[in-house]
Amino acid sequence: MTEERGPVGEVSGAGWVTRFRRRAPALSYTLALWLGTELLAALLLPAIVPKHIALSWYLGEHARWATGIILDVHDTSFTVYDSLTGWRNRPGSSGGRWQIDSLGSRSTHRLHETKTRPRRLLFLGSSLTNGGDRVSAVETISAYCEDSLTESVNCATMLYSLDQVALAYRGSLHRLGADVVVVGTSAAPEEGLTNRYLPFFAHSEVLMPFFKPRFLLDGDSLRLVPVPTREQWRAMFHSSAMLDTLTRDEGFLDRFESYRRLGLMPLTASLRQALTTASKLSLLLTGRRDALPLAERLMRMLADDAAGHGAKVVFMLLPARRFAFPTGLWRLLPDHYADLLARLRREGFVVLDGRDLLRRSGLPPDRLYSDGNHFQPEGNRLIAAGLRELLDPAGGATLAGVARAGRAR
Amino acid sequence: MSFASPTFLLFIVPVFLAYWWLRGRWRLLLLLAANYAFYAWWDRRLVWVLLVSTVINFVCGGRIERSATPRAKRAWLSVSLAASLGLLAWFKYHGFFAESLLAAAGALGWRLSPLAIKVVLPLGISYYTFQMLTYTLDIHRGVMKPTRSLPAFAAYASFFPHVVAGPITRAQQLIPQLEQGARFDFEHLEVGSRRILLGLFKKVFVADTLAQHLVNPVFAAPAQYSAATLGLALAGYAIQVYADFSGYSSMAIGVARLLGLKLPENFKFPYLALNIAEFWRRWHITLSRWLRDYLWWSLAKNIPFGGSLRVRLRSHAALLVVFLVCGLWHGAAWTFVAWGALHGCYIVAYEIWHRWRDARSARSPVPHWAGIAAAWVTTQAALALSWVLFRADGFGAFAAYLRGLFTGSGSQTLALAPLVWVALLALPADHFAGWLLEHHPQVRRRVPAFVQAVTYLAMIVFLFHARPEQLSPFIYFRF
Repeated sequence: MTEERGPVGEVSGAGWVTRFRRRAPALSYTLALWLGTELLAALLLPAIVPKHIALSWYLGEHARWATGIILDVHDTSFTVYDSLTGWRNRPGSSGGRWQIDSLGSRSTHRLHETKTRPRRLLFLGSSLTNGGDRVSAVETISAYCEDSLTESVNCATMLYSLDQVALAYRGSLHRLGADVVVVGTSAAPEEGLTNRYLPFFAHSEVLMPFFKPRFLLDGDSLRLVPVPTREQWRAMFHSSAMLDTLTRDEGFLDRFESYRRLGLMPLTASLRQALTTASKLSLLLTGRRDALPLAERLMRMLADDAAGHGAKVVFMLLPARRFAFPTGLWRLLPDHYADLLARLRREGFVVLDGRDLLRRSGLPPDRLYSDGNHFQPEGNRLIAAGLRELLDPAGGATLAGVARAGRAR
Repeated sequence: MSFASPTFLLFIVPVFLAYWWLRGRWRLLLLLAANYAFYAWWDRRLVWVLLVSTVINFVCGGRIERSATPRAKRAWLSVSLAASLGLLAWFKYHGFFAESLLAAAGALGWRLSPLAIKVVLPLGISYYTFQMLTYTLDIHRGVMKPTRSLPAFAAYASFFPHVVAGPITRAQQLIPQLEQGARFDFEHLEVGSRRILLGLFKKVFVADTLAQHLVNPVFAAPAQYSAATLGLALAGYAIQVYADFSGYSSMAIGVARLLGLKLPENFKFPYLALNIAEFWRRWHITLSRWLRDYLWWSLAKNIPFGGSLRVRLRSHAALLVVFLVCGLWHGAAWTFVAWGALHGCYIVAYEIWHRWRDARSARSPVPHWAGIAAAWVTTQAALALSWVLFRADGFGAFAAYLRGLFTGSGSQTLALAPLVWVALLALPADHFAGWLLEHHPQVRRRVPAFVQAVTYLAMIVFLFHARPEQLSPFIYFRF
């Protein structure tokens, strides 16, 4: 068959594949080679590359460095290894707008183990409650709850989930003699409860590549899977043994496994990203919450422990901005927040409705949130006012008054 | 929506498919819609500036052609120049001149009340103003005919690959291509993809790696660092600014080529230059040619030929004016004016030296290779000095950097990761390839397609793994 060349040199009469190969030889080879390499990588790399090497790639150099920092109790760390909870605030550490006292608390004044005012509130939870670096110590929820009769101890710790909160209270914090234990949680209190190695759950937190304990729910009883020892933890990047043990009880190991198979080449990595997004979206749409019974069990355990020490527990539901003030497609999602609130109250827990407080204030979201999750001082002030109303309905500043003052500011 | 962002992929794929599916006027209208969508994505508040400028220049172009007398033609050209440059002056230079005036008045002891108007700079205004002016100027000169199609002119003026940061494409280069309509050829895909990949590699890996790990930390606190580190960071900046801008230009040319349209080259391995004039023939070529053809030529056409001192002085003054404008075009700040003036002085010095050398009949005692090496080193040293000024936030920062560089007062050094060294070495590799292609153009044809494919795939995988966590904005976007 003879070929005729068209005015631009293309092979007329030939199929588009032939024309593509003739007119774009390097591109056609590149695409074929690329697809073949992606396929080979997905099939062979998980078998060839040891898990701990893949982990180094997955987390990067910062994570290796940060692992050493926490295990060796470096001066610059703000957390230390804890055999019960995985990590805790390092007493005496400071940086930016944040300072931790000798009790491991971020409080506004010098505290002692025994209370110095008639009522002591103990705040537990994650950075949402702690306040993080976005607000100063006097602008936290705990600080706004203080007055001449009430003192607050803010022991909330970065990235703590409910199981760590319960263990921390049971382990040592009950000694602080709080009258009320205030536990801040996101709109998904079950978040992270099936996780053991934090980066598998929160990959972006490469500076906190920590192990945490987890509970397994066996019927109605709880079984604790403890934190690995320092030596086991340190060996993460040198041997695959620790990673092998995680196959038994790490709820997010599939994320790492999918990285090993699909994350090392651009096309499959994009596919993996799309699948992850689709899976998160389907969870949001269906509202499936497999770990919620575990969360409720832990909340019950905490409430019982507190009652044993003469304290009562208040759970603060602190919704992310997209749940409190949904925009765009978020508005179309079912209201899982309301379902959760109703369910927890039905179970007999005392729950503060953070979303209602924020919405009723009439303040714009930018005044309340500093990012998608954390609060501005104004948001903390409102939550604190709601909490004070809940604890002491008869006295003090009312929520309406605080909201009015906020709008005036 | 930067070319280097994943969002751009979501934009270009449907535009590409629809573009080749449609024909004639519909294709042009699609392109126009895509252009404005792309521009509005950055900042929709100032789309009207682009629109107004487009309509004025389109009308003026037609009027210049239809006017019967030279005077009327000049009048319509003046309208085009006044409107385009007026918008540019208001949006880009209003604040600069107002602040400078206040500072000068304050220094003289006069108190003027500040004009409290904050003006937002429309993205790409320096580029699209210069681009549109080529239309009316070329019609006035009689080197092109005006287009009858407003969509074609508007698509040219707002063409998304070049509207934000060039290459500054002349109307006569692009409008005929748009009117004629491109014919699909897989070669467009091959060339376009290659240019986009090379551009991405330069921008995302070379420029951003150097910026984040070497240039930004050192330029932020030059007093702390040793002279060697400052020198390395300066070299890093020279490479970064080249990789950033030439990477963007390469991507722009590649994206246009995917649509079957050819944009002019903007860079030609500038650090191979052996003198400053050659540098400007290799660096930001479309701007330097614009300044040469439309500004320098206007200034120099009345200067008679000859070698008298007066004539030479006028010629040198014209060059200085051109480079002052070049500096001011880059940014509304005195450091950019000084940068332009410095390059103007370089060019004048080179012209004087060149004339003096040519006048000497005696053969130079210096070996040829040594002469080339000396010319290259001198040119690069002069460029390095000018890059400090280009990067500095003010004259204080410029002086502080030079003080550290020449006195070595600081002692801190940077432990550079291997990737940073790879990024630094990418420039010699790029320029060696450039030298090879300039002197042996048959090399590209001799490289088998398979070997090219392996190289491209290696670049893709390397880019995927070695890309910095965050993309820096393109340096030339702010101009």
